[in-house]
Amino acid sequence: MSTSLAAPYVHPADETVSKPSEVKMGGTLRLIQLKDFDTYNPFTSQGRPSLPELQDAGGLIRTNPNTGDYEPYMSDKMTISKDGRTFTFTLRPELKWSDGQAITADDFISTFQIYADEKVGSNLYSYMYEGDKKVTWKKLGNLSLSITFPARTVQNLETISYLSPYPDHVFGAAYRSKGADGVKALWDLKTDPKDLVISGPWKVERYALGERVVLTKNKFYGEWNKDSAGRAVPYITNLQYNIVPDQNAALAQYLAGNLDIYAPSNRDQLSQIADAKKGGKLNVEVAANVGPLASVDMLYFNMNKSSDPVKQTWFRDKRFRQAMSMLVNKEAMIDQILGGFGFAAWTSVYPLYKDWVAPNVDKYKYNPTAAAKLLADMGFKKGKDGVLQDSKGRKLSFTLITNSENNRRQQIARLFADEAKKVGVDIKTNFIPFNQLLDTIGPESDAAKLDRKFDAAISGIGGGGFINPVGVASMLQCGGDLNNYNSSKKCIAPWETQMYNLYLQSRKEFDINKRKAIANRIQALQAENLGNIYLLSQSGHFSWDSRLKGEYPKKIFTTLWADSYFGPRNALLSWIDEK
Amino acid sequence: MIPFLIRRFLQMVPTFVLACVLVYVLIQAAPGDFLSQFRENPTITPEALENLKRKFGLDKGYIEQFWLWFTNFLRGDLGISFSHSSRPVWELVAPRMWNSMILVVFSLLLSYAIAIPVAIYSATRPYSPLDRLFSVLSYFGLGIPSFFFSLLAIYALLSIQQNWGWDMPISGKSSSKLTDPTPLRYIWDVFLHSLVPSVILALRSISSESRVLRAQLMEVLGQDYMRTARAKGLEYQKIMYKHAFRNAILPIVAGLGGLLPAFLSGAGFVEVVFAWPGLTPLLLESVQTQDLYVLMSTTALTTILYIIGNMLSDILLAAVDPRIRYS
Repeated sequence: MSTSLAAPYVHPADETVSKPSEVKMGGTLRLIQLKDFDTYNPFTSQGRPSLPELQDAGGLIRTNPNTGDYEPYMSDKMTISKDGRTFTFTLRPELKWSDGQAITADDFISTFQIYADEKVGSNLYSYMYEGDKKVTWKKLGNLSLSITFPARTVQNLETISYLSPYPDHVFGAAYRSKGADGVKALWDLKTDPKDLVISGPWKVERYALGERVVLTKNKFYGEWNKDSAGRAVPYITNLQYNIVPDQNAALAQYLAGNLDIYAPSNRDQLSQIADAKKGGKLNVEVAANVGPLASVDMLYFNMNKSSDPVKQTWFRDKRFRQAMSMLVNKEAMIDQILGGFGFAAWTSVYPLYKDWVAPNVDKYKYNPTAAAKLLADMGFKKGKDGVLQDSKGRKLSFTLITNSENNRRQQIARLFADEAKKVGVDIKTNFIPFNQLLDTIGPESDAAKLDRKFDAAISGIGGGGFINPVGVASMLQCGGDLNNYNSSKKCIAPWETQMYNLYLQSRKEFDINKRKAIANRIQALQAENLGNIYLLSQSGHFSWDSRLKGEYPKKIFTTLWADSYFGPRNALLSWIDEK
Repeated sequence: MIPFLIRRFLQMVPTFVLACVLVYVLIQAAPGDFLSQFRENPTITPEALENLKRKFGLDKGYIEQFWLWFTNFLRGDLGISFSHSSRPVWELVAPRMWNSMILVVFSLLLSYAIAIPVAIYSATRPYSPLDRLFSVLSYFGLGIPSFFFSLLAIYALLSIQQNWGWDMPISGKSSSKLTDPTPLRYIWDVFLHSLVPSVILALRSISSESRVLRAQLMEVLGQDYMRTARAKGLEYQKIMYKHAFRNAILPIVAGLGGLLPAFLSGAGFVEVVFAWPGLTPLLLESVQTQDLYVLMSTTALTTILYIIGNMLSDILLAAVDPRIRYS
């Protein structure tokens, strides 16, 4: 990929439903946060919500939601070397920090150096390494630099898009004189927001802890970011984050008209908003059941149970897992547990990435008769009490665990147990605290990993990128940290090895169609062998005050492009219609 | 008095250490640690987890971890919060303590301002219709949990706002519509926000304090010396306030010391429901995330305040009750 665009960056018109001519400038966008932000320091900030993230311009490249391709952003030109490992960038000359200084290659170079220092403990630390090999970078000129990865993988572009620069004259200087501690000591919440030097569209103006943060427009941002009519973005002048640490209180604030954006997370919240809208008490837009969220619940059997060889043999038999899969009534679960707001999942590709879900992966869908037959083939026969037993008279009975904090998973477990009972499988359910569940599934010691103390469990996974949504290494590798069914380093069945090898191959495949084809083969193995029996994804809902305009057009109005802070919209192209 | 205080101070040391050890054992007995929650996240690599483990000292033995925290605590270093980007615990706790204090003090003033007159009225006119009404109300006040009251209040305020447009603050500490308020305007705004939660908080203590004080007063009023005083023709005001009230108030004075730790334990679930940025929401969040040092340090501080509060109660009791002398 090699692109050259005239500076500045122009936001495509097809990213908003509003025409540039109808847009009004100014106004305050009122948002909510469940907890206080922690720091202004981008290197010590962990997870979300994060103020540094809100004050970032972004990276050298960004994803275009319409095409899904990476396009130059802070850079205006990118070239890739023949071996696919070295990426060379030329920065836009208009780039400036909020204090008016130019953003140059030095800023990127010192930022990478700080990211890569283990002692700093940045979230992006692991992105600067591939195994024990380090990503390297080089300044080529005032406005040009290169990044070289140890290996050629499809994730490299994704990684580059995550890397935001921070001012060399602040962080680089501190790093050179005082090292990691110098960087960590900068910009805690006691810092006067005036002293922050940021690259993004809005800069913190004041912060009253426990109450709210107010951000205001950074005028230098608009110098290199224009809308399709050539006007500087963002349109909105102020962002106001109200800290409301309780979900009920947050909903009440939205219902009282004190907030512009609210994401209902369940049916009850959604119906309260819809009722208020219907009653004419609230002037809002509601987008319900927009699409599946980037997360999924799954059921799995413990294949490492050396203390109980009989059960271990059952759980390792793929016919057993296929039969269990055919006892999972996903339709009923969506209907009864999620109130219709959910999607059936079949493989490690979340239903959200529907273009990536392989065909015919629903091979072992709900079919109790077929399940009973398969169990009979395995030699199970009904005993006097109606419970199936094997040839040695051992009852087909096991315990299914999930975490006690999660109602949804508990209901799924009960529904599955009810269905299974009908064909003579006895399932006891047991709900334990989340941390205990994780310790049970992933014990620390190698010996414990070969004899884990559970039969079957339900847990979930969320997040991850869309470049190769088939999963991450730690899920697909035998003994990988996120491998639920097999925690031993040794693969038990050939399909496990095949699947992992295919995954490694897919990371190196740059042609998206070929990559999808490999993903399809991985999913075919998953659908046939069912290490994890994937269950459901919940649906996402959005709501916003009618005065807020400029959401995404229908084509990209999905949970995939929705922002966790701003919902289904590009914040830069959103505007407020003060009546 | 002085030897008594020294003795109490010496007793405090083992109590404090034991309390700390107990809390530490309880926290550590819970499965997993702060980092467990990250294990479900595919974007956090095992190396990053190891890195964090070392950073937070979670790779050290239990005893070593405790000793490290304890010695730092004695030196005035409360440790760092895991879930708040390693911010010092004190920085997190101090502003929230202040916020909790607003609610606690405000509701305290409210409850004494109401409970004392109600108790005096009820004690002097027992079983009158109004006394009976107070009894019934206080049963409700004691019986209904304050978080439930809070939810009722929020939805009542919300429907008032939606139907009649009367804009009473529903939650939080200040209004989002205020940009750059004057200090006085800001104080008024905070006052408005604290009003409903404080009243709800006060309901419970009004109910209990007025009942206790009523019973005490009635008992004192029935004593022989009261009868004598009345027989001597002392005027009512003097009997009531100089003799009866002073004696009846003793249990309440004894309880005053207990208020000190209340500042550090927050105003409870009312804070959560009203999104008041006090200590309770922080502590709940810390329990959920197993934010070790926030929990340890706050509990340790509360324990110290309990002990000091008890000592203060004793001193206050000695001041109001001439029968009590510590010598």
